[in-house]
Amino acid sequence: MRSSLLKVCLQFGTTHRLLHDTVRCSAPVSKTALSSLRKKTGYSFANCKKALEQFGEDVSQAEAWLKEQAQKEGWAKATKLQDRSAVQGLVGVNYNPEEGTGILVEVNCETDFVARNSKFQDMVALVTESCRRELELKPINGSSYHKWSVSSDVLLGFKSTQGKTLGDLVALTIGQMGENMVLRRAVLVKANPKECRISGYAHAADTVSSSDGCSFGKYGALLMYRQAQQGLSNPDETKRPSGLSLDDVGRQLCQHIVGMNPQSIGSLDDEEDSKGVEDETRLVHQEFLADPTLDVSDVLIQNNVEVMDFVRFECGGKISEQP
Amino acid sequence: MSSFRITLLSLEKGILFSKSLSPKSLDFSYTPLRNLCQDAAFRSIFSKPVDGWVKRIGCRHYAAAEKQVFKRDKPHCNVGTIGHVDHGKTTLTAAITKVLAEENKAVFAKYEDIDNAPEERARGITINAAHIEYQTAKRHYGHTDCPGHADYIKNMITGTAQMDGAILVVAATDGVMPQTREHMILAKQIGVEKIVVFINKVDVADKEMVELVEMEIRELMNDLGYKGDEAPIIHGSALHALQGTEPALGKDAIKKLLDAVDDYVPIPQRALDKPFLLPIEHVHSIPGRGTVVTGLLERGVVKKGDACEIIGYNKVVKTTVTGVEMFRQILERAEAGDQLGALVRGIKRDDVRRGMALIKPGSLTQHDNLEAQVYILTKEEGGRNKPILQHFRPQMFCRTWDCAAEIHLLPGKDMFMPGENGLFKVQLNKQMALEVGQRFTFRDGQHTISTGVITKLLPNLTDEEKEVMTLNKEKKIKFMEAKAAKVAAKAAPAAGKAPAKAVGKAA
Repeated sequence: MRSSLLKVCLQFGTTHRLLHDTVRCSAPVSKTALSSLRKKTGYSFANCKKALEQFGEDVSQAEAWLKEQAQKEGWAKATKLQDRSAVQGLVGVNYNPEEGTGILVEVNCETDFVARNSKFQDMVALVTESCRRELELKPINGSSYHKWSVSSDVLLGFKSTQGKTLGDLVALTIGQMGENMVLRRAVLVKANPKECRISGYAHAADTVSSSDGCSFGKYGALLMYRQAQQGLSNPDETKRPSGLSLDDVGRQLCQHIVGMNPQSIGSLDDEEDSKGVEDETRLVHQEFLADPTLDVSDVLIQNNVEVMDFVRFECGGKISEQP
Repeated sequence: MSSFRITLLSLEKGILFSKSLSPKSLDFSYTPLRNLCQDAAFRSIFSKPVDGWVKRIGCRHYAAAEKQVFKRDKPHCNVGTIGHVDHGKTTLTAAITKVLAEENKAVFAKYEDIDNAPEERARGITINAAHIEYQTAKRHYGHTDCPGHADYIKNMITGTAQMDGAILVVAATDGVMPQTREHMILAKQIGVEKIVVFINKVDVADKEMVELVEMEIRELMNDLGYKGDEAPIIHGSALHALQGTEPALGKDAIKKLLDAVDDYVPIPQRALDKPFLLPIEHVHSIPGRGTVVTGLLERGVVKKGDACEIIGYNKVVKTTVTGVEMFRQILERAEAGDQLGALVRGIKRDDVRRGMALIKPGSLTQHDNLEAQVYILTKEEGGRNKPILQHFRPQMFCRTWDCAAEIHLLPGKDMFMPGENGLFKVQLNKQMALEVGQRFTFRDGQHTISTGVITKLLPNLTDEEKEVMTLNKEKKIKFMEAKAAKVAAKAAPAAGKAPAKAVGKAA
């Protein structure tokens, strides 16, 4: 997918360059113009200089050319760097219990310096945003929730803003930051808000940042849960016996999933663990992270909550097949 | 990366041949080594080969492998390179060793040697820092190159490579990248005060561009609290230096860079020049003489008659050192590194205990509230596989003492996973002798959970805060909420929106 797109863009690029080469008039470039153009656009000095050489003092035209050039060079750079390993990066989490949507994406880059930069974080936010738009079109056909695992190739084809694809967006950022980047994986969830609540959590050690409802971290989790049948069915009844609202319980459970890395949900009726507390991998039998005196099962029963499904991403972690 | 020197000795002629080799060739059955010895022997003494001599080499000459002795004749200093992956950090490091190797001041480290094990990187294994050593006319350097932010922080915390200065590499063609800001923030975070800048690839950029790049770097440095206007900025091409072409941009630029590092990066104060500090390991009562405290003198010099303080566990005892002994012999003066016993005047055995510190009066103070940068060990490193949460209570171990501690996360943080690092506030049960830069570990009975370094000393705990520390978790949370609400109520008339937010956070 990416390579075919690449070809198109590269071809487009070459014809464009030919066009420009014919009209090039090499005017001397003033230092102040170069400096101000660079400051304004953030593109590399080499390119800013080229732009000014071509368009002289016409800064707006130079800017337009630079923008175009950036996309083109982004694709070229993306092809050049595509073999370099990228295992750092961010997990982006975007969820909305009212709409019943949840998005978990992993975007990789080469160094954690880049992952800490706001430009990279903005890109991850745009990726989740575009996933959210994609999710609007998907039907769930009466089931309480549906979960889609989206592969890297499909993600690259999702629509971004201004008629571009996510592939274009990533290439542009690669061009700016000079590091390989990969849209590694995503999970999109759409639920019927009446039957299934969604909660999410992103964990970052230092730079806790978020923009437009998207939070980032090295780890992220989505949780699908519901109020158990026999109990209080009114979702407006927010106070639980333990003093936590339903959303708080969801959030704490998400944090637990990130922190304790359960492999499966397990069932309340399972027999007690034989492996010992430390190695328990079934969610409901694990020691509850926020209060080690309780098991997760105790928390679920106390709050009358049933876990339906969960997804956990660790940046750079193995891609496991979710059931 | 230690190399070995192979020396071929002759009983008649002394050293015949000497060559530096990699460690794997130490095995004497290793064929190249045997060949080498024979070749060398032939070349040096058998200019006219005689039958039967070869046999004699076997018995009368032998090859001895020895490690080079590190000569401590110059002050040591640690520097590191930071910069974008494609801007030539590794090339620069290689170029530095190449230029210095010509003067016999370094072993040339090839690009591939520094950028080691790409296959490891592919498998996602964290690669640690590359450590390289070299020396200039004035100093001896340890040089660090790490792939990521987290690696540098981990190094700083564990103390494997405390950087005294940094070389920021920026390519003239790209200029300052968006993430250059993050690189400088890192330097700030790990306590690097001085940054020397190397603008690389100037051979493919023109003069104005280089000037503008320089301007941008100075601006960014000023922005982030560095002295951007005085920082040395060197223009050059690491590639030319490495290839031995264009000396003006290559070799000479590297030399200029090293001169700048020599001049601009300060040398850390040596332990010997600091005020003395003896962490007490044992306390003995010697009949007829008095109380003796023993331990390893961490820094400074102690002499008989020195006034001193013994501090720790909320106590301060002023006294005088009336005698210093090592190995049951009287010492004129004890220096940092000596294992010694110090006789202290007028102190009862029960007045002092293990974990207190004997110090030059006033050189250290006691604290029970601090901020620290902490790295949480993964299970593979001996830690736990559980995260650390608010109000976690480990035992803090440091020097010869240990003390119960409580961890407070900064606002907005709720947990830390193994393998991560972060800033913690730490409260101690007792006041101990503490200072910024001191390293410590946290343990929970079975595991060493994390290791850290003190970054800031906070005002000592008030009685109220001490009382809160003894509360159980639920009560503590309630107390914090009540306090936050109080603060919010106070601030309410002043600002409309902010307090509501604060309450929300506290809840």
